[in-house]
Amino acid sequence: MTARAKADTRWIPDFRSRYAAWWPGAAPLIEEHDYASAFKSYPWPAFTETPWTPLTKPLAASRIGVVTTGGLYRTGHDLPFDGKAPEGDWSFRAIPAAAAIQTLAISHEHFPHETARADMNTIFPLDRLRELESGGEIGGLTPTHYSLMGYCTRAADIALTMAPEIASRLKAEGADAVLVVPV
Amino acid sequence: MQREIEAWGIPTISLSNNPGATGRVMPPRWAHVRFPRGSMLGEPGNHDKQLAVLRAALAALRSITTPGGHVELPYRWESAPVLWRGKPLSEGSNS
Repeated sequence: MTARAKADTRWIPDFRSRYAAWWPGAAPLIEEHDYASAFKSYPWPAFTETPWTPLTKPLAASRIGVVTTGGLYRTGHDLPFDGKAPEGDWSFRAIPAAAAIQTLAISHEHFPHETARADMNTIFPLDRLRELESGGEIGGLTPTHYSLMGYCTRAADIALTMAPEIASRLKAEGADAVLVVPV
Repeated sequence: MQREIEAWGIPTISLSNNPGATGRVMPPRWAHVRFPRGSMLGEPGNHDKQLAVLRAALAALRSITTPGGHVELPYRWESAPVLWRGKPLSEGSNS
């Protein structure tokens, strides 16, 4: 059921072997919330190319999707993310375009929530995008937008499971362009 | 995430307040915002600035023509500093 990755995955074996060497030393530091020390030696994926798809339509005719890494979820519909897991959480939540974004909850332990709680548009700007749609500046919004929890050390799992699944859904929903908001 | 969506034939633009971290993931295009972590489109309730950031980011979908290119947005944080673990956050800070 999970879509297969289309982006280059040649970096993954090298990443996995360096990750296996990094994790035993990093785990105790992360346990103590000493992220600065833990991530000094994080085995960043060794990407070698930048994917590129040009936008060929005018914005006024383009359907826009949004992906936020703010750990947003719908209370009563979705489970929260596992904000305390040392390696993070590589699941995602689908948020309908019509959602009342101010009612979304945040499960993410790695950024201050005050600004977003006061106004979710600061990390998930659906209200502003609807205004651009009303004014004819964009063609519309995809029926669904996606939220993930930006703290996750397991880059290979993101690349092989979560990212292809979100990308395939956005494709199926006719996204012409996607705004990614890393928080 | 951005790399995978692009590989499915959908152009993407991301917001970044941390060019160092963004550079490591080699995104196709990005817009540099100088706001503290957790506030990627500016101050809460600043309707006009949020719209301006969005318009600039979306326009960059067309104006950036080389892979990895970015635009600098002129906006700055115009509110009291956001605190994180008791210390004010500066742009580009990590956990």
